[in-house]
Amino acid sequence: MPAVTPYLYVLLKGAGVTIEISALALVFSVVIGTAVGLLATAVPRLGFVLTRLYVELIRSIPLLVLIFFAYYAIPVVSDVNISPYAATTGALAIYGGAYMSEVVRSGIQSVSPNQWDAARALGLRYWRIMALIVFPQAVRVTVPAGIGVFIDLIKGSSVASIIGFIELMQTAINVRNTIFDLSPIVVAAMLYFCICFGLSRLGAHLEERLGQHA
Amino acid sequence: MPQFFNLALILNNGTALAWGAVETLALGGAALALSLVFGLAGWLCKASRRRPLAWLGFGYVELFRNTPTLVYLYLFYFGLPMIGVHLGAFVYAMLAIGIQGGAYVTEIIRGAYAAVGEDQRMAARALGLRHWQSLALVELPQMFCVAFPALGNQVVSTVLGTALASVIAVPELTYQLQIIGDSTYQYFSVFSMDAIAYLILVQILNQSFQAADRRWFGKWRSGR
Repeated sequence: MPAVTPYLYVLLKGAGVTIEISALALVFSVVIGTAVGLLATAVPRLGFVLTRLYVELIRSIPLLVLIFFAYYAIPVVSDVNISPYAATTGALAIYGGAYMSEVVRSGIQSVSPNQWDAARALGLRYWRIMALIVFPQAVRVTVPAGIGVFIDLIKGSSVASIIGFIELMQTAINVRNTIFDLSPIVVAAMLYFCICFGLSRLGAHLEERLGQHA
Repeated sequence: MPQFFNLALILNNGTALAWGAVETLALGGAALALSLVFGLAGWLCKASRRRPLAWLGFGYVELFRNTPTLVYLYLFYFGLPMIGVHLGAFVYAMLAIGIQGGAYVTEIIRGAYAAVGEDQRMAARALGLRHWQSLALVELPQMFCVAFPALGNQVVSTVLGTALASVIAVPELTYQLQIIGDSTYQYFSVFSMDAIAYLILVQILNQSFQAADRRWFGKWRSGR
């Protein structure tokens, strides 16, 4: 595919934008996920109900609709003008946050209740138990699963191309519209594959290594 | 002036909405059927003793699970007409979503096969069942039971995935509502309605799957 060669650098830059926005969304997802995951496990009834509502709601709506909502709907009912960058980051963060909160919740619940009892018997309070005993053990479960969420965010960020945000997918389409050839889309697919497959291998490796200490 | 939620606008466009929902379900159903076929084929390849087939299955699963759906949507939409295959946007979307879904279905079937366990196969052999008899009479029913909740989730994510078909102008829910939004600027009403419509569809699917699960497999599920 020689036609695409002059555009390889542009496509690589697009991949950089994809990674940047997905990483930013991942950071927000971790913050939301940790807050929601803690709420779900710490506040028995209300916390459970509220967090279930959030998670079920987000998992029942396509990511595209979340992005459209952020980009088109919110500026209509408020005076806030939202850039494609902000709309994408916001929508991906809320989307990833729902999945991340499930990851955090299952991580916390993977630590045996006996650990809690033992820590309480030693006179530790909730936050100290969480920070010193539960969190270090939960990480074994949350880190590999969190990498899975990151992969979903990278794939999901391609949807931002629809509102005209120029990341890898939109770059590939722009190049296709210039040279009228499929090769830029194939190159984009290969770049997505390298990033996501690499991450999934890393996740599998970490899962194995962290699992050894369980 | 756009309103917060314009109910009249939604009611006036009720037919477009209903057709959108029908198209969403039709595309979801077609893509799902295709993904079951590809999933079964993918699993047969991946589980094969022949090395090249096993590698083909592995490659299929990893390739499609690690790339976004949009890539395939555009590849089919732009690529197939270039080689003289004109099938229409609905079919391109069905192919993209269905073939990608097949990679996930492959893993669901693989997981279910592993969960049924070697002792069931050995017991079936000890009773004198042939390989295919054991598969059809002993393993497949149990695999279906194990895989049922995961298949339910796959149905939901396939239906949600069809929203992407709006970019190649398949007239499903999101596309229909986007058009109404573009002509009236009532984007808040329109995309709220879109979200609510998906919410209702997904809740109906989830509840039916849970009901079917309780009815068919309730007595086999421990700890519920």
